Amino acid sequence: MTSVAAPARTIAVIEDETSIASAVAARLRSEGYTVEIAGDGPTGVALCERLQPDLVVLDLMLPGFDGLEVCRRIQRERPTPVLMLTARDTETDLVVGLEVGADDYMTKPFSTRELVARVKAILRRADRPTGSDARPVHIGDVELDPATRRVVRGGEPVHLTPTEFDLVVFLAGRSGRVVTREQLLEQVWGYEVPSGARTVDSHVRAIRRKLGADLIRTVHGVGYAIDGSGAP
Amino acid sequence: MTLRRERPLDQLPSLKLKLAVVILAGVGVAVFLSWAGAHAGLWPAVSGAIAGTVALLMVRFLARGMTSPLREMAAAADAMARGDYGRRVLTTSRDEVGQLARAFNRMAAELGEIDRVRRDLVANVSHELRTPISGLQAALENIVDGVAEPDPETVRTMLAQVERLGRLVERLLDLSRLEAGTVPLERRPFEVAPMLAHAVRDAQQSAPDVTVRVGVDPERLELDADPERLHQVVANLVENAVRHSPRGATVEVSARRRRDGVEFEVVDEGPGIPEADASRVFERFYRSDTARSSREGGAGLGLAIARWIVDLHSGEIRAERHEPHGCRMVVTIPGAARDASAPEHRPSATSRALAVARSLQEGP
Repeated sequence: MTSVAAPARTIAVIEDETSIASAVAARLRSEGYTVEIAGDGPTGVALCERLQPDLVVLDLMLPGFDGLEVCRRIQRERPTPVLMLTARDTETDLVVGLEVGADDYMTKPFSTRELVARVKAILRRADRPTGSDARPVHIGDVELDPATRRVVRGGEPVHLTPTEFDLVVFLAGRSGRVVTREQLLEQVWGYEVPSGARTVDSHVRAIRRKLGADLIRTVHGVGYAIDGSGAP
Repeated sequence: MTLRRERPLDQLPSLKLKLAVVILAGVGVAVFLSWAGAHAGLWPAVSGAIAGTVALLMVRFLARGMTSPLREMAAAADAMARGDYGRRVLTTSRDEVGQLARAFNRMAAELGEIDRVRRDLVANVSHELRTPISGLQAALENIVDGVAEPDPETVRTMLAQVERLGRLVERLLDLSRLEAGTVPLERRPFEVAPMLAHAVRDAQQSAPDVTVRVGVDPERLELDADPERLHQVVANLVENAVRHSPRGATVEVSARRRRDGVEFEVVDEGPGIPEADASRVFERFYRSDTARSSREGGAGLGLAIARWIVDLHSGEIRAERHEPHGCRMVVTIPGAARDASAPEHRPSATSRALAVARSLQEGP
């Protein structure tokens, strides 16, 4: 996919469990990434400021301040894809749903093989050419511009994470048609995972919170759809 | 007010009395109406029917509220069987049904609390298991996939994770045995100083950069209690204190004779415990900083175990702030305490050496 000559991508791993951090770092290094580790919230933020990583693997529970705060701070600095690590299943909404902007999450214990797959998928998505032919999408009072990745709702700018943005654009591109969760995972996330359906649901909830509850229609037992989108 | 009007006999203190009133009123009304009907020259059948109807209505009115708590209880019990402990029975009556309803409500609240604790326990245990398993899985996958070599360092890290899992399981079993009450205390007189020294040595291994000072007053203090269990209490308290201590700090451990037993004290220079949490620290899995302590393997079970052991001894355990900063844990164990260096004993060299920080008693 990526060209061989591309410079090594940098990844920051922020995790207080040294055994997990070093094993994840070793795995990512073996895949050709440049990896640096931080063990708590404040050093994690400092590391991101210095390193300007292409992606951050972030533990939710950290000493100092937690992963959500770290995520908020690095996103304020510069939009960076974040893969969050959590220790509880119930934290999905916390991680993905809040406006902290994690792109994906994995629940411990996780497989480093799968982690690498997800890292690749997230980076691929971040790389996706914005496409000069992509025209702004209008859905009701919401306008999305794929070229600049800007979102405006009723004249007010709204912040969407890259995943949320891609999800809305993908659904809007199939106006009126129902898209299954599996299709969304494959097309928007770039991989399929057993727990994927919940990831999709959490992202949809987050989008509804930001862009209004009636933007995305739930088709029970099937998937999601956006109606009435198009160019003005 | 409205309730009282709807439930006219609510104030009567016993069910028998209520029934007596209901029966007397019913019979009285029936007799009176039959008599009045006969006087007015009605047919006996007609006056009987009227008397019966009025008496029934009367009974219905008076008995209102006598059985409804029972029906509510039945409904609430069904809800509980389905896992909903939120239902309560409304009652204002003072009789046995009312008492039953109140006892039922207390039971529902208690069961709800037990259910909450159980849920928390499962959530926390799985959370505590996840972290070391994650570390292990990541390291093992790396070895299997040739990303890392199984060199001694890597294997040592993995062993540490397994040991952490083992400790967690052991503590969980300990706690469940303690809570089930299947652990009998083995009381015998023992010398406190060697027990303290041993417990401190065990606990300190995890943090060699923290100094632990031990003081016993009198030097050869003897106590009649379960030494193995108290060793566990002290070790858990010291481990906790060490874990929350900054690098290079000192933890003071002391034991001194009180009028009716021995008071143990563990004082650290850590961040201390927020006042609002002072009573919660002895709950299972309580942690003031969930993220930090999990790293050092403190699963939040140590203090809960300590509390159970102290309870078994009918003792007391409490946590308080230590000025200017830090935490003071105080354990009082009732029991026969004596000074073993009384004339017939000679103080041994080891216990003399252990009595270091007796100045503690005077305090700062």
